[in-house]
Amino acid sequence: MNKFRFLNVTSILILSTFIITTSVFAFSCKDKVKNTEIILATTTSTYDSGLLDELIPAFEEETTYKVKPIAVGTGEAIAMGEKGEADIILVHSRAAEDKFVEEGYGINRRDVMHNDFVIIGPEDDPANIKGLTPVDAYNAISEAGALFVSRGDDSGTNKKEIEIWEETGTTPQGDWYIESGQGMGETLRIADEKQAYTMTDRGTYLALQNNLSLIVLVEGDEILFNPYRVIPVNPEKHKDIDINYEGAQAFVEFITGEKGQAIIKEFGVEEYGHPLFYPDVIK
Amino acid sequence: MDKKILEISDLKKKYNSKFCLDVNNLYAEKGKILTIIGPNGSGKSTLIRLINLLERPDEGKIYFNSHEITNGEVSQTEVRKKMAVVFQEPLLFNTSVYTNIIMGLRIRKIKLSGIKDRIDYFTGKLKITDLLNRSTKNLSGGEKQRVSLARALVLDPELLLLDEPLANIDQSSRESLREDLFGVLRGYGKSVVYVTHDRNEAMMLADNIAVMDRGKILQFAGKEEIFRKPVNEFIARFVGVETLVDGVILERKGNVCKVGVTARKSNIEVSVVSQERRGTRVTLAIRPEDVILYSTEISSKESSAMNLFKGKITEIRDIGIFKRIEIDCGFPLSSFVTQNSVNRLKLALGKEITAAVKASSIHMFKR
Amino acid sequence: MEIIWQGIKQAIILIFTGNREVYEILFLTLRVSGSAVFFSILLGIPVGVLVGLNKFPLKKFIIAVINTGMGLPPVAAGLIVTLFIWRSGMLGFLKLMYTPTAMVIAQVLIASPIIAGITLAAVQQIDPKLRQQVLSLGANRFQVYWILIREARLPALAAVMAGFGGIISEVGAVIMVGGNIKGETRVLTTATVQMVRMGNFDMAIALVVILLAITFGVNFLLTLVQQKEGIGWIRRF
Repeated sequence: MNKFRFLNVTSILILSTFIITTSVFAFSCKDKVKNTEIILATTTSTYDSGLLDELIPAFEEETTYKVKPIAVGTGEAIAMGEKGEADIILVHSRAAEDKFVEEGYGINRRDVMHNDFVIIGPEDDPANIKGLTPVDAYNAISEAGALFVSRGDDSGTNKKEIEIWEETGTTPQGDWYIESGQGMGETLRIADEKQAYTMTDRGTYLALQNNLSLIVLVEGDEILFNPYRVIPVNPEKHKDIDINYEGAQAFVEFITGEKGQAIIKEFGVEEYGHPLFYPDVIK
Repeated sequence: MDKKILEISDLKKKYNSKFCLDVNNLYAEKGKILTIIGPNGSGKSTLIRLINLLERPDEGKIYFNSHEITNGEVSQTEVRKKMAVVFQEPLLFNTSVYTNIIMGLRIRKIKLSGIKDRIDYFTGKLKITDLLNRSTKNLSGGEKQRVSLARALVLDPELLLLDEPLANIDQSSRESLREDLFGVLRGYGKSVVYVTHDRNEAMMLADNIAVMDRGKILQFAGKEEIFRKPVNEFIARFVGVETLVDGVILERKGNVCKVGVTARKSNIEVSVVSQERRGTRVTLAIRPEDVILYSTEISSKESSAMNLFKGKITEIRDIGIFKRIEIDCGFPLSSFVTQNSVNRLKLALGKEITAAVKASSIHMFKR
Repeated sequence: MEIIWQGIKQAIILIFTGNREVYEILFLTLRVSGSAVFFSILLGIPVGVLVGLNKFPLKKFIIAVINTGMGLPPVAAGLIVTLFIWRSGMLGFLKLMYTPTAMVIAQVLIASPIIAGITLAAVQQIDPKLRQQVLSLGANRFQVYWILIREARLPALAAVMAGFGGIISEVGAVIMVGGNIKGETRVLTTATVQMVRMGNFDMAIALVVILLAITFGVNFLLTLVQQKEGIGWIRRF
């Protein structure tokens, strides 16, 4: 008797699971037939600034593709590309990109745009870094033990920050060095709350400037140059996964083309008085 | 057509760590009320659950309308649909009284339209017509059991199983519920199995009685026979015999035996109507209502069928309508008399008195 | 303080002028969490009733699994779903990653153990004798389940609301599997995170006000049910 009951329970469990699965599939049908989707893994700086909200609708209007932008750090974006979880990445970290391309995960890398990093801090500038070179400024912060907030998330900004620290020859550690582990927006707010120094891309800083009391203290050095590139993911590396390489190429054509570059050039001008990013192909 | 609606043979079921239900032969007749009586823990409720197929027997068979229902070939649900059970607790659903009453009808997919009269009849008889729209949550215990009874009765089952329906009701509402329920059952004309531990209920209601103890049927017979001729001491005590004395049959003349009872001072001879053989060791059972008291000495010469015992009154106790008189006549003998008789006979503690018991009123069973 | 009042004022304006983005996010949230609760009911209530009312081997183990599921951290649910549905995962070919469907699946994974667990506890609280009574009235297996679910209807309702409250206010799992794509998988919670990150506090506050209104409504109903039925033992989420 009990044995039969158990069988019955199991069968009903299986039945309900089946119902759920089929319903979920039915629900998902709409998504399934669309074979035109492009997953774009990108940095939080391009996403949070709002640039992609302008670029993507314009691209979708011109083509039949549908772009799904996923905002992550450069490190994770590259990891997604390596796993084939994205069709194209938009990132800003030269060294990591080189490795990605050399290992064959990405092909046909193209420059898109740039802006620059700036080192910002409280107006009273306790470590007196104003006007110094980035390396000297980091040394001064480290020596003064002034609060510094790092992204600490393996993003492009974070990679650049570490690159500068490496130039100084010191490893930043201590109570004064805070790792936020979050995106640029949050990191800026944390730095603002703590009246700490941090390094940011200019675009995000400008976008959030109204809510911040921190000011730009170091800028213009060559090392602070911040170029963004798109890299389609190599479909040859992921034969078992349906990588939308054609879609990725179309997006590359668009973003490096006349219209995409124009949007980049115009973006932010109205609101902030000057662009947040500078196009690299058609200037 | 077989007269038996239900028949049980060699049924065995372990029902707690100590006892095993073991029913050799028991049946319920169509249109009659079978009362199963026994103390708590005797296995009565287990038997009801077995009949309703709520439990499976370890061994044995149950027949319903001459068809075996315990072989697993018939649908349990279909069998249950021919019965209805009322349990000791009302077990109502958290909804209105009316919805509760029609719950069984709904489950059995019986159309309400055809049986409005039946619903009205039973709710009327059980005095719950005014409660129909109430929620069951705020009903008293007695009211709840009325609803539970109505829920079973409106199903018009072939066999109605009542498992101590009055046992959990407080004293004050039990009397009126018993009256109303028995009123329904007397004119019911359907087959009923009524389980109780109360011999008065059995006496009022039963056609046939089965006495149970520790999982076994001790005696199964018509109501009169159980009360007049209990087969052992347990049943005798259970059906209200107060006096039980041991003795040996000394001789037999015709259908009257002389039984020698070892009393405190001397041996006493008691005449009993019986066919037992001489030398048999027996127990005599005397019901208190069969003991008649006389204040004066009377002779027994007119009838050898009349036993006369002399003795002193050792106790007078009030037991409601009757007085219970305890007499020491070599062995303790109890009698029920009315207050009127107490006055007339001037009964008092220590008074010498003669007690008369007809030979045919004494029941005897082997030791 | 200034920013909060300013934000609330702006929020009210955004809500009552029918800001398209706010309403898009609201409707997507309701669609996703509503479907998730619907499927969680389909899954959770039968499982709760069957496990609660039947004896079978490994019953205790399954109850422990359900109870663990009730406390499953949403991000764990998000990660599990991600591992299955991303492109290199077992179900990658379905292309569910970064779709509302993925969010629904993750939320079902979060809410169905809650619903199953509370339903299970509720039906176990029903007197086992009542079940015998139902059987003796002639009920077949499904009628028994149906009637006993009806007996446990208020705790079951509370379970549903607890499940809904749990998933609508959740952010970790949905951002992981949904990707927070504007107009597609951006729900109240992930949008709030995004708006804060973008410094768009008016919008963030507007979204939080809406979210609070919804969760308050759900909890208010839950409290009413609990007070009415004395089933305060149901854990609130």
